[in-house]
Amino acid sequence: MPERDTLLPSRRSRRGFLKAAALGSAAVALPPLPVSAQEPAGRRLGAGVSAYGGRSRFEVATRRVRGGRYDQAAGSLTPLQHLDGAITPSALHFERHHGGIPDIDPAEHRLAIGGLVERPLVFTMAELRRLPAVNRVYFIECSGNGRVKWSPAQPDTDAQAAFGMTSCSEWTGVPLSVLLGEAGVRPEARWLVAEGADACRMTRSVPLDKAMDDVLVAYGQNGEALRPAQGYPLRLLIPGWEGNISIKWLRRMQLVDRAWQTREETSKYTDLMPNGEARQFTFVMDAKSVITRPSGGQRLDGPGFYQISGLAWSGRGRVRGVEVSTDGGGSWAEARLQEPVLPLAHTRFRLDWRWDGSPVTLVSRCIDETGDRQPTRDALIAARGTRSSYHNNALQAWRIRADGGVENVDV
Amino acid sequence: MSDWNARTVAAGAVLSMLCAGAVWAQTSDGARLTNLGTLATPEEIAAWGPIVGPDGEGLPAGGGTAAEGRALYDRRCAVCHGPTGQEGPDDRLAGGQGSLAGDGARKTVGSYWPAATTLWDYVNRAMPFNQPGSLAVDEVYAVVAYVLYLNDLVGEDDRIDPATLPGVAMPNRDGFVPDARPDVGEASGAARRAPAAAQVPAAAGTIAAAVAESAEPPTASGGPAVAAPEPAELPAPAGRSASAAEPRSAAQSSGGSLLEGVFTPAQASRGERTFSDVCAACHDTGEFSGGRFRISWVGRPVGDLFDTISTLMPEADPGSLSPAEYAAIVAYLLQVNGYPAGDAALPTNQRALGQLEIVSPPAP
Repeated sequence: MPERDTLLPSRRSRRGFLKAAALGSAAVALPPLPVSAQEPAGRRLGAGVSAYGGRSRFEVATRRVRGGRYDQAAGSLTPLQHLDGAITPSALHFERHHGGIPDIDPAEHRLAIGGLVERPLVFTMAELRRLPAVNRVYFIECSGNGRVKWSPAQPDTDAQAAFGMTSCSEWTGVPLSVLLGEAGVRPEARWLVAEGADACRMTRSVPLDKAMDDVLVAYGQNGEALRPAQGYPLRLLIPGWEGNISIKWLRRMQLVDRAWQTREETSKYTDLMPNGEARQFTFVMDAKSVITRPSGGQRLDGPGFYQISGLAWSGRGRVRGVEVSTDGGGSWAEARLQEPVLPLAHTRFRLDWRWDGSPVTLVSRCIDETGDRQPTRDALIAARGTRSSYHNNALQAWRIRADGGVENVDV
Repeated sequence: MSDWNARTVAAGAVLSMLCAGAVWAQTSDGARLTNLGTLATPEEIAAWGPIVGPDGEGLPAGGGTAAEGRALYDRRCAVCHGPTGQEGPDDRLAGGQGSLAGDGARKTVGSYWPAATTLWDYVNRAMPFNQPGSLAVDEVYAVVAYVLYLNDLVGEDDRIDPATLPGVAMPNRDGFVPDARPDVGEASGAARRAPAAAQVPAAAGTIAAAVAESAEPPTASGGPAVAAPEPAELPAPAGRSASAAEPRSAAQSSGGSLLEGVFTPAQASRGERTFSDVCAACHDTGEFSGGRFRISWVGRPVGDLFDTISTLMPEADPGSLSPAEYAAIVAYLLQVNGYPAGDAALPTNQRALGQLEIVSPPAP
């Protein structure tokens, strides 16, 4: 039962927001409490302690595998619409693999640093764990997340299908700057080529400025070791940038004087413009948000109180604010942000709302601390056409029909 | 501490023992904080495998031609990328030049990739998809040459090696531009702070733009193109030679046309059982019949089909079946496609299989 002071109207509501909210000032009859069930005589003991916990058998949220010819070169999507926090459970972190998940014994794993360095070095995992470590909460988002929005909205698309390639974890690891300091970067170095130990030896070029700034060489995720699907035992974590560059199963970094033009930064993860040119090294993930409750595929149980809730994030820094519209973008109200609001991390936003039962269109709009604001789909397409595939951060809208069903629409 | 690296601490790094016995590590600019990690030579790290740069940095000695790569491509690559690199089902490798600005943009090696070195690096590290790392250095050069040849970027006998590969003039080498964001509507207002990406060094101009015409690759040693030999690295299951237990093989009989029966009913039945046991978990016979079969296989020798299956399958343990079992599977697939059975069994002999051309299947 909601606390009284969370009921509408929100103190932050703006003029013009929510005609339906007029109901909010009326006394609302709360439904009666259900009658307690009769206690049977005696109770069965519950399950005992266990070595590694699982979730309740009644919980069913799962990743959804995005179809492909091969499971090893495919993706699976985080069920954003079923999650409540800002952190993604490790077991539900989205996946994108290009050569399957390797089975790596950390005792055998090595990280080599070579190329334009004073001291080429090879580290064991035990040595890496002795280096100064930090914890950081960062999202990882595939730059193809939201790709469906280059095409007209399909009613059945839900939050998981459209935006499930973003996840957020607390990562533990060594700042890359520390490791590079150990090896000694030579002055002519400008980039490093990072290489994974998966079957395809995934490789990306990383600018040295970013490498020395906030990049982690991570071995921990949400308090335990990385999941195999997330790079066990070691991965790069390049916050705010497209997920592909955060090389998993990290085995080598080679300092070089310019970008190495790997397949993943030429053939893929480049953005084709209408004039035939392609933008390259489009690393940063723009400000984005999605309402997860209510969202596509869900159904409201009739008019009344609901809390609108969703996630916002930006690869450029902190989320400064999220605005929510219930009239398809005609008017906007400021949502509450769940503290702490961390840079380059998922930020939960909420707005209390009363649905009057009429068809409405919900939209959210993220603004980050740099002023980056989500564009409309039309504005994005006007600037970039429809074939650039990556980096679509257009506004997302959900239409709530009179029957309470929620479907994906364009605004 | 027994695992403490006892090597001399680099000059400037300081581990200062404080009087209470606590150890604090300090560092100054240019100095190491720890003495962890093992020093390696550049050669030792290079031995972890090539990471090839856009001017050919890291390319190992070796070379190959498209003529040498053709058979390898047909056997190892065509199953996913199509007979000419344009058919798929996986990434298209050839064609599409000039299409990028149109509605039907086709991004291929020839139309889109800015550097030929990328192709070598990627094939070497990641291809074939289910057996990465299985190609020898010269095989990588040869198949890279062939893919470039499929894009009309090199001649059939042009030798591709560390000297010539970086100079291949990729049509889209000047087609890439730096990140232009912010670029959308009100979000691109001047009030916005410059994004971190603005710090990224522009890559333009870093790609070798040497023109192939001005650096004509030397042709192969001059002799006539010979049939590509079997690569020694291909897995050769024990007992690969023709099985003595097989009855008289089709290739030993008259012309060996698929329309005259090149396998026995019993052989196809064995193949069906094996397919059901080993292959059906991943594959449906529909993948190997009808139009898909015709597009992929008609006009090619049965040996290609045998080689593809026996080299790549089953995915979890390629080459693990006996030659007779692979031949039986091929017989079954031929039967599925309507080819008649006969008195002679399909052989396992490479040469014999290579002489059996897959003609159009009989009308149903």
